[in-house]
Amino acid sequence: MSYTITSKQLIFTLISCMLGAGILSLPRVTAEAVGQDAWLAVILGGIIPFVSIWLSNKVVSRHPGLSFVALTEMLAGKWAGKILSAVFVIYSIIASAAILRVFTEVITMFLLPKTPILLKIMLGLAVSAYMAGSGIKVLGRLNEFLFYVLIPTLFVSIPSVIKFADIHYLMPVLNNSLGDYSKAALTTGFAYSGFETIIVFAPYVLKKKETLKAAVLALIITALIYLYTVITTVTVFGAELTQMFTWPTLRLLSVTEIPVLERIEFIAIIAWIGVAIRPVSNQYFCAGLIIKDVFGMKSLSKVVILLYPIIAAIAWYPKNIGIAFRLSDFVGMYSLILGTALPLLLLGLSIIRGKGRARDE
Amino acid sequence: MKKYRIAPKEVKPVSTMKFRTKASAGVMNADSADFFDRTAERLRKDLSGNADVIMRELFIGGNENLDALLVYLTGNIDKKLLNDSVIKPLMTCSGLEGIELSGERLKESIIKKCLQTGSVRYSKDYNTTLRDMFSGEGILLVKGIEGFIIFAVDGGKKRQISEPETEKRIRGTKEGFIEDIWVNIGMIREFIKDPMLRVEMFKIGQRSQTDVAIAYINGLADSKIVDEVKKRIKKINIDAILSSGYIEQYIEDNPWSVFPQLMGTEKPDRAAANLLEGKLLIITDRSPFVFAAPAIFVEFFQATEDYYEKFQAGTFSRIIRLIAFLIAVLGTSIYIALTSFHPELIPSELLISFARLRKKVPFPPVIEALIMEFTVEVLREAGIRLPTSVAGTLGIVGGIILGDAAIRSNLVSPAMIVVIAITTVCNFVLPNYSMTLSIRLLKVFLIILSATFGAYGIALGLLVIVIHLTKLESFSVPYLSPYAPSRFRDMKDALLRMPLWMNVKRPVSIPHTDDTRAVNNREKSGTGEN
Repeated sequence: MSYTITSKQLIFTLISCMLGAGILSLPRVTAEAVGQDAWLAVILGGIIPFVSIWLSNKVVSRHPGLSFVALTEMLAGKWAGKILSAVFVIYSIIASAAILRVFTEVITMFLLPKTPILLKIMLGLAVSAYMAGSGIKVLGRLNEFLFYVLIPTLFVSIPSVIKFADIHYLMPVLNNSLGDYSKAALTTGFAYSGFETIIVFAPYVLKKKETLKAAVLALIITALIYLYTVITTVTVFGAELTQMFTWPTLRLLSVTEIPVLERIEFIAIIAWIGVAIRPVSNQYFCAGLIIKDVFGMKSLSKVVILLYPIIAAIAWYPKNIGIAFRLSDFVGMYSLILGTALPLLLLGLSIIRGKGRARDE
Repeated sequence: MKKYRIAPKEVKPVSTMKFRTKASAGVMNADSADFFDRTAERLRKDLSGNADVIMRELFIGGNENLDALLVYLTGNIDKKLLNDSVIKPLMTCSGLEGIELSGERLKESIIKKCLQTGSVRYSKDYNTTLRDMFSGEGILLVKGIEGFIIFAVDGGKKRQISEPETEKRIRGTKEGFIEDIWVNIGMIREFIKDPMLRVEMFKIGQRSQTDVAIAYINGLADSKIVDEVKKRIKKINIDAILSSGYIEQYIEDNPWSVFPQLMGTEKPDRAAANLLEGKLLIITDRSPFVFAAPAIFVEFFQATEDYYEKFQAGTFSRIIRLIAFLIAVLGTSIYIALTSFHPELIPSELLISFARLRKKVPFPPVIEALIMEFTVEVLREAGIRLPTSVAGTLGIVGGIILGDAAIRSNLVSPAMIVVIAITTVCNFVLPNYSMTLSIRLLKVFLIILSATFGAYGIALGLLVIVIHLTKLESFSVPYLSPYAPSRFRDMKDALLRMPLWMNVKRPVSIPHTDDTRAVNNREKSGTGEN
């Protein structure tokens, strides 16, 4: 493999896969599930992704130097491997489209209410196609760079938190049934969707030993950002009110008025465009890369151009925001299943076939 | 100023000219006399249409058996030097009595006894010798020697070393590069007297035969990059190189990008600083712009003064430049997006006065902006072409009268004038002229996006620019380093400028082979390490 990313870039790539449209609605989703224990749901939600990351790393590290397509074809056989790749490609395409659609809904709500949806989708997707077509090296650098530039905008909400937050909104702790918590863990697990791309990105990491550490760190950073978002929103609005807003995270920003700028949430949305375009591009890239490898094509940009109308069409398909949310819930579910079943299956095959470790050492 | 010459290349005789290399020493023989006559005849024929080529016949040392022919370009040589150090000593040369009048001894004697110039070479190749003559060197053809004696008397008109217009500085050297490549190399040598500073010469351009030099510090610059630059320079096949910009456009990594990928400078101290970071310089004859490769984005925000002043002032200016850059690129498009798409973002008092001012203007903000941008760009173009005295008048007429009249006739709103004026001024804060040209293009790109999609368009446009910058590489060095990929060590001297004594290592972004730049002499010693 000619292109590589550093383990540091893997951290940021995984964070950008997970952190996207979900962050704006996360406080609502968690508050609906377990009320004031929303922050607990965020932590619980990280369990399945953690298991998935651990399994994926196990599989990849047993067969170093093999890309995702080569790995599946070696372990599951030529045709079954192609089917597994296809499952992943379909997931990536739908995920990319779903995030893009939710992203476009936010743009419609806050920035461009009158412009046709399709036009906004096409424009956003064109930028993310440009990003996806640049290859893994540039993607790694971009994910890192945009993280540093944009994540600080999360903290514009600090003034309103200091002014209005009431810690009592988080009380009483552990007031729900066990069933509620496990259900909440599942629904917040959706917010982490994107973690399963580690199985595609991990083979390209320069220092193999640091892969797991980097991936777990990525998960922890994402969880901390989610925790921050959920805790600040719930402490300001309370669990009841949080459920009423479509995008509670943005509402939090509109609480404070900063002199000169009438509405601070605009700055956050503009910065957030850069945040949310990354999971779209990363999923887009994954789909493109796998297709390219399956068919043994040379140019990634051609695949990216071919995928463009497909993703645009899927993103355009939902009639309204409700269906768009359902599409993204579907992606979350798909992600959890794919993220655990696929590495588990591959690991099982790898152990049965006895390939890997013994031969490599 | 001392001249630096490359060693004469080994020249092969061309097939069209048959030299008798086995000239028998001793008596003057018919062959060498024949060579002299034939070559003189050929020179007269080949150079017949060139009025500026002077052919001077003379007898060396007054000996009528020693015919000689001196050929030079009258416009490109130092006449005083030619008369005093070449013609006069040749004609009065007295050390030739008693030696054979042909062959090796004669050549040695003439070179060592009669010619009083610094650089003298001997060549047998007719064609390369002619080229050397056209580069401003004198050639001497002597009866009895089967070859040419080439000596440097180049001089003639040279521009005085002066302060460059595009890179004015308050501190640091006032010298700027001039057109003569040897003077420029000499100026760099005066800053770095390290014998490891290597200068390699190329001749590029089929017809122009332009001297192109690359300079680097051996043992500091990365050899892969040096080889890559050499390879790319050698691949240039063009009839003429008229400016260093030609070289830049031929060797840069992405010719479609609007961003400059080589750092051009007219200042020897800046060139030297680049050498010391492990970069190499591309110096082109007839062009005062020296290019340093590889270049990274943040460098275009750095001025040499940042290092000469105290670090607090340096860091402050760099941050100011970054803000100015952002305003120059984004100012107009943000104004358009705010007024035509998101008026709710503007504080209400300001919005009211904006609305009152814009009430009489019949155009949408984007047309207003394009009218004003066009006016500013036209004024700027005209300002470059016009003589300085008229340019001042143009500034007043264009800037003040036109702006005022535009507002009075309700063509544009006063707020727009303010925005355009600020962005234009911010544009010129950047220390590099090539980058200011790129900013103009980016500005138009973002104006169009913001006029169609508002803030969404601006955000996406900025993303495209960032993606493009991340993709760019200059000689395999990522253009956006040390930020993407992040290299924390280099951030001490990127947008921030930490104290000099803290930057003890060279930046890792630029590959190099000698890491230590300085020793931190302020570290407390004796008390133990902290």
